[in-house]
Amino acid sequence: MEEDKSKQNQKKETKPKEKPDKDVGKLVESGKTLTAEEKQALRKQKKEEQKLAKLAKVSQKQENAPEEEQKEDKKEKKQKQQQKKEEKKAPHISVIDSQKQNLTNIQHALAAPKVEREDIKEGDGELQSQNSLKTPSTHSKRSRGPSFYQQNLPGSEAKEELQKVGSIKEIALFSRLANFKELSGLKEKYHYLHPKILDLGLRIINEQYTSSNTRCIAMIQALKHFISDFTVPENKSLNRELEEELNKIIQFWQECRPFSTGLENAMRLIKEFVSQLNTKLTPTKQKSMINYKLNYIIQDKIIEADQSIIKKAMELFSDQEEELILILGGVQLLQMIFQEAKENNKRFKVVVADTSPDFEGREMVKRLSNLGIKCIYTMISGVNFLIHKVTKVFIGASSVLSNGAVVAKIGTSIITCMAARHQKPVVVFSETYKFSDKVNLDAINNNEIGDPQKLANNQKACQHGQGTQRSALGDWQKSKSLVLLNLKYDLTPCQNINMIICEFGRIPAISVPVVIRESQRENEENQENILDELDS
Amino acid sequence: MIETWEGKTFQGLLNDFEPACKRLLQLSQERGILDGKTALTMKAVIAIYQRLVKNVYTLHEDKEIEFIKEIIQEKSMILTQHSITAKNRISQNAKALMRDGMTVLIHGHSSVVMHTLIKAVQRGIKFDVVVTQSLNHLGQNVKKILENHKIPTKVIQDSAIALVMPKVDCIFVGCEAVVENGGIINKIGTFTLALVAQTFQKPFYVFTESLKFMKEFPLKQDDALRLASNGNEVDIENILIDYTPPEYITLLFTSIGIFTPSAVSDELIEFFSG
Amino acid sequence: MSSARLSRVDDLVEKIKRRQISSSHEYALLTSKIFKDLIEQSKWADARQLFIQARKIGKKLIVADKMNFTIGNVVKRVYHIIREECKALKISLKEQNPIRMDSLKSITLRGARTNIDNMENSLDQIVEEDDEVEDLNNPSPNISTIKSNRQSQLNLGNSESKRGSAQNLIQNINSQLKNSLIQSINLMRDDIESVHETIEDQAREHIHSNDVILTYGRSTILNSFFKEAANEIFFEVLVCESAPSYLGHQTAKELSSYNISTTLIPDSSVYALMSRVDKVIISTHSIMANGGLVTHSGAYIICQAAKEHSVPVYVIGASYKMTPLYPFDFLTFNELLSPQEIFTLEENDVKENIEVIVPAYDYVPPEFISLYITNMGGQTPKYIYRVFTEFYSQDDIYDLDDENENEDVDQINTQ
Repeated sequence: MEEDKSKQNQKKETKPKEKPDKDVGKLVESGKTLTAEEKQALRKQKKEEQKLAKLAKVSQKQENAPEEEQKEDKKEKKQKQQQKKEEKKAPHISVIDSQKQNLTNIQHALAAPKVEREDIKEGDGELQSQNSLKTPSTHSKRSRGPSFYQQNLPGSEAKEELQKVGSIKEIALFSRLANFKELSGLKEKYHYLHPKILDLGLRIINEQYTSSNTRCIAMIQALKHFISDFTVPENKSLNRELEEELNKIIQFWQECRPFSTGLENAMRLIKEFVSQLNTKLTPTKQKSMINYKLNYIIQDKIIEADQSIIKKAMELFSDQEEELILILGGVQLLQMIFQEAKENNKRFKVVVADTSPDFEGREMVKRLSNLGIKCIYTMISGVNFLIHKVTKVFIGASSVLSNGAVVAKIGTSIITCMAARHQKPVVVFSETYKFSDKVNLDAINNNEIGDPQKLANNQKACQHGQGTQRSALGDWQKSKSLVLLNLKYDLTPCQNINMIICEFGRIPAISVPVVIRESQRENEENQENILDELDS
Repeated sequence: MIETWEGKTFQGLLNDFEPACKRLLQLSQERGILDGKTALTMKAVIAIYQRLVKNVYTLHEDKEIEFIKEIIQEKSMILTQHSITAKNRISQNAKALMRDGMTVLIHGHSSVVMHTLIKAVQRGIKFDVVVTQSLNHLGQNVKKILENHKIPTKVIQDSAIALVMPKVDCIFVGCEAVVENGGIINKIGTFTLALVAQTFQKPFYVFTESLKFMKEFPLKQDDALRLASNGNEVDIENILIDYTPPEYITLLFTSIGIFTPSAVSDELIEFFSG
Repeated sequence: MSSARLSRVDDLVEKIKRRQISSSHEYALLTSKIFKDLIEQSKWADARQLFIQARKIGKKLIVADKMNFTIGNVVKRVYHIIREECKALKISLKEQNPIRMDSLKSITLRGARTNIDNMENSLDQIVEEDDEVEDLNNPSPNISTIKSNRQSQLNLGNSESKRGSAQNLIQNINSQLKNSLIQSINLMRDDIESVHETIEDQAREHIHSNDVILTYGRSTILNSFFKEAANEIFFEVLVCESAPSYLGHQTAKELSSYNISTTLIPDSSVYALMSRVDKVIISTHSIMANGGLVTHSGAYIICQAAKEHSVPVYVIGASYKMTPLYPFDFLTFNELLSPQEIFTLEENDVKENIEVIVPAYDYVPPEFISLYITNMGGQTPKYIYRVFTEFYSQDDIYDLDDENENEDVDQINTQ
């Protein structure tokens, strides 16, 4: 019997993907917890594993010694309990990135107690009976955890982010306050990193950078500092050392918050450059070359690209009639475009649609009105009220995919959908460095989940809540059936997009692969040019 | 136009019913072709009238013929009255529809639509109108009439409909007949207009008196054409009307109320089968 | 009208104006109670008086809040009931024995309505109805003279002998009318009261096991709908926050307290998550005569996203939400709320350039809706006008504000 159980254990450990688990995984920007509690939990986990191993051996012995039945019973019970725990851990071990295995294990150990009941799924009658479900219905009743997408996604890795919706509540534990503690834990782990790098990481966690352009620039600046301080012993080559260090830095930053496409591309360029450096040069020379390249990336890929886009955008403002342009939230590039348009005396008004819980549109409206631009501010649910009078829709992208789809701030998809239905042109503004080879059809693969507590902190909602409660949601974390979901990005399919403007020019959404190809070629050429220049 | 025919009809009835109808139809066809319209409307009205007479007859079969005649006269007068006041009722219905700053696209020379627009401008609503040119400078005529009432009007080519559609807020058309499934038969070009309107999500409103409801159910355009030409084949070069299916119509404003196309078909089925 | 009744009406008007009551159900019940009292307790000599009294009250209530359609609906239903009962009684009386015109007058509603009443309700009426047509509308002079001549001929012989019993006859008729009115109004009240149960009973039909359902806003009927289904099966609900009121938060809390797996999402995620949603079930502020909805802000984007992903949209609507009005666009029935709802300005900000638009209501065209779940069962948007014809008379379909406008019967020469 016990052998069987141990076999069962093993089986369960091997088929973790099918279990909708509460894997926090890569989702959360705040997902690194190395608090003392977690270290304890890690130790506990190890102990339990050891116990189980012992039991397995014991059980084998006991098979041969049937007299010790009483002990068997006891150990059965023990094993059952440990099976439970193993079960809990088993699914956690599943869908983890190799990078983050340790961390996430610990997270789940911490999370385990809360997730207890929810973890026990159908298919194991023994364990189910031990946890009484809420009502004794014989219907196909699952455990009551919010399981959202679990029925749809057996064994699909890519959709893990939202499979773990149920555990988002657990993320609340890792809210911003806890981040600081975590950061200290992170700091412990990454203490060897340059202080500028750590500083940037902290700022990223604090969501100081809403625009990926500014995040990219800040990262590159930090890297410049790092590289200028970077020393390498005589016998080792700068290239390789630097590459390793870069990898660590990138890992750290990704833990703070996952990279957007632009950042990935930029980092890749940097790494490629570093690896191609001429090893015969002196370290100082090499460093200066890297510095040059970093500056070049910022200058070419972001600043000049933006300038070029802004110029092209001017053609979109008609001279005859006043434009009414719809945008979502606050996008830095769009603000620059409007500024330029205002200076060129174009006649236009801007409709800013805003979303909860970030309300980035408010800042945008204030900034625009300070520039003298007339704005109309509304929530996203009020857009249909205004859509008939809108002439164009402007979108800033986080990344542009190979199938012409655009990943942008959450809410973009519904706005572009409405615009398309009402025959209003949708224009996307994006630098080429945000173009990606990936292909995606919906917003659920590859997304980022933000802090759910923000939804609960909504001031307005609190006002409307019952008088006694401070927030309508109150202690939603304790509720077993309530989960808050705060997605960051969504995907606009290519048929809703009329035009994409990048520094190369205006392209229809379907021509994105062409641009990617062209820009790659250009990158290579530029790389060679730079190397030649600097060599000479 | 309807009213004058009404008058003739119920007088003619007092003599001999059947031949009067046929003569009327012939007359109307000739007259209709002169005016660029078809005899469909007359057909519809006649059908309604026939029903009326039949009903009266069945109700009062046993009474004297004089009595029956009187009743029929009464009914006819109600009908006439009804049709005279129809336009007013229709424009009353459409009151909430018109708003300052609207641009209305109209097609064809429908007296009901014109009446509604003129009433609206008399009520002080400021809007402008775009009218399609159609055949025989129809658009220019409409423009003259509307500008007399101080409604700024522009005439466009029929083929420019798609170009102009984004700037238009809604579309008003009259019709020659409303068929059983809630679709309409109207001047050629109406169906095109409805198709373009749907692409741009603009509402398509039909204005008609209730007397134009017809007990016919065309499945496709050819059926409608055959209806209009009394079963003769019509060459594509000479088509005067087309059929607009109910899916493209937002609302019908009739003298008996506002209807969705499905409600109209309900009314019609009830009326003609009862 | 008695002063007690007047004060009750004024009370209700106060409550309406201040929007003190949040549930449409309550409004419906209160309004129907007022009319029930009116019919039972007030004294009226003939139907026309009653109708005028009812109309006075009704107008007051409707004008108090233009957007509170529930009140208007109940009022118009009452009018319809009164009209129908009068008609029915007349027909039954005529069938019983030939009766004098005078006595019939007591249940005739002539002159109590507007010029719009000139419209026949249907072609049938023009063609088929006999005396009814003339009685209920203002006939043209010719016809009435013909008619009265004829009838006076018929009745000449009987008039004198029957004059004495005329009074009794009228009283008899009035009491008959009163009874039937009270019956009908009680039926209507029962209908309104039982709305929750009848709709809950349909919950199991529409919600299937393991469904993922999207909803928004807050509605007591919707909550009880989900609760009922949750007793038997497991399903999940995504609740949109519904800016600017954020009532979705309350809904999420309540649903999770019924142990339904609930996820609260911001409105902006609607399109992103719609591909994983099985159906959308929403409640509404009102159902309009063309099958569309005028409902709280946020419904349009949900329905638009659902249409894109071919997700069926179910709307739960009680009978008192069915409004016999036609919305032509998003502005016909709408109001804008204060900008404070979503935006606050600090002192340094430039105020002149900012406009804040907060529409309270959305108009959802009938094409976006798959099914209405009403207390009369499921209805398609195209066919729901049928229910309207049962509940309301054609004459009431327009705003009562237009009552006193006179339209000349003039001909504009358009030839």
